[in-house]
Amino acid sequence: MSEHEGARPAAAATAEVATANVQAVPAAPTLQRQSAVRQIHRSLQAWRSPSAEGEGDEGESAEGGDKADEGEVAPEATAQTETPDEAAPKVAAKRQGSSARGGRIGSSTVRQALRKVMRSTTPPPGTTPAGPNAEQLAQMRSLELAADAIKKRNQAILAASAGGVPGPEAMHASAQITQFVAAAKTIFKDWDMYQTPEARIRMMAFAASDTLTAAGVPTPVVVADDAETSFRAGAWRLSISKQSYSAKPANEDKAANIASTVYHEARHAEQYFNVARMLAGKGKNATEIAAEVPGGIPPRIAAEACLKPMPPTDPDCVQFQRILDALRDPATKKLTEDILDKVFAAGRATMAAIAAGRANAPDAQTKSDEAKAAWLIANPLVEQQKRLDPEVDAYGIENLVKAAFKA
Amino acid sequence: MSPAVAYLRRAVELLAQETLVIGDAVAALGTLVEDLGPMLQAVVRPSEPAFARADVARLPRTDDVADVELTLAADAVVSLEELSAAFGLGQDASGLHHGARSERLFMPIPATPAHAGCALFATLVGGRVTKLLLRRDPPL
Repeated sequence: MSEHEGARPAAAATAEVATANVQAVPAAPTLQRQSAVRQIHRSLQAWRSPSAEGEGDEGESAEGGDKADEGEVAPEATAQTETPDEAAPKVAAKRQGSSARGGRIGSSTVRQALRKVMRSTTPPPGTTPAGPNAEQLAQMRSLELAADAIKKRNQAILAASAGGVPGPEAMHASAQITQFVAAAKTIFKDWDMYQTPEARIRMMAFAASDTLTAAGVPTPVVVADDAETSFRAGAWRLSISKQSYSAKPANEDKAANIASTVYHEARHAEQYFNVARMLAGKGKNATEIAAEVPGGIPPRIAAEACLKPMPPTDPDCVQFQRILDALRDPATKKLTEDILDKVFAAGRATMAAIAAGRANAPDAQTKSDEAKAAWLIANPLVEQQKRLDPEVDAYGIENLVKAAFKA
Repeated sequence: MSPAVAYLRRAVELLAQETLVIGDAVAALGTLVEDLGPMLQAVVRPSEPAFARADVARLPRTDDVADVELTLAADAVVSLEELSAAFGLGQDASGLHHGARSERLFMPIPATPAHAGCALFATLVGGRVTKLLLRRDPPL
């Protein structure tokens, strides 16, 4: 999702310097196709030999900087296609994008946190930021171990689902995406005609609503939000950021981001509804379903799911059981906390070091190398987090929409 | 009971009505600031000063109320203890990506086949209740 911060503080102006510096670093296209496993290995290599910094870390920095500037800081969900552990959530051919707060799915808390990190990285003039300290290094080591554990978990998920081939979900259907993209493009084409952010949001809401209706999913309540674009299952509510619809997107990439973010969040509604349908197929009634789905979906939504139960023999049950498991999994929540609390601390050090490097501080390069290595070690976790089922699925479909938008 | 919780109680009862359209909800909750029109919410200045704003959301493609989200005023405090005393213990409703946010779900008036109900979500940031969302549940 894209959470756009409202007012940009004055400090953000200086932070832009850091962002601009990061953008200046050449990107490595290949990074976007590397698996998490290879990232970990490369991270370790960089960690052990900071001077041997590969194009990967540069690419990652460039990626982060570029997206930060757009309010889209998430690293590419690259890794979706290559290894079994990535393919795990069947989403191999799909892609990335927002967030699931069981009950409250807000698109990119991760991206927002990253963006904040980037805006707070420029060191005061004449100072050189420190690289990671011993405590941070220890944290990163533990995160590295956690990454391995998560990889194994994903492999176990893949093994458990072997033989279950999820069928095409309605929102994955190319006709659905094509129709949504056409509607979204009209909004951007006629941007000035709609005059207000609310009018544009309304049109986007109609487009999302049409898609969900065609998919047999109850349309969410829609609100124009001051802060973020997100889906909240408990209220069955799609919040759409006014920030994204205030100024006309500067280019097609940004327009595609805005449109695909809404689709991503709408996809979360479809996920929750199908989880409810799966439970209905197991004989649960509306009250039980409403209580059982994390976040407490509205009883009226659960009741609708009971009218369309998913037969237990339906291969899609595998995927939606996985999604339900992920939403319930305390380890998932713990991982998210780790990422937000610790990994971004490493990123902060990275960006500070890079900013200092651009200023030709005496030891900036060394510190930059150290911090970038640290970032790379941390980064696989971010990628792993994207592979958590609800997000992988939503990011996957978001990418399909982006591609269709730019086709 | 604090004025804020008393206001919440009235709002819960309002939302548990069988039918409730935007205009009636706005009039009961405070003063209309702006109605964003079809598909979107009406923004209200609540009559209870503990709340800075209320967003009254529509059920899609109707003028019926779906939910009301109340934003606490910066200096107002509503504790979980107060909410529990008024609406029952509640349960954790936080999910993924909540970051510093967490949610607690109360069911002051559960919907039944015969009656509409209202659920209450408290959003906490850093341990402080910042928003309260009242979801209107039609009869099952």
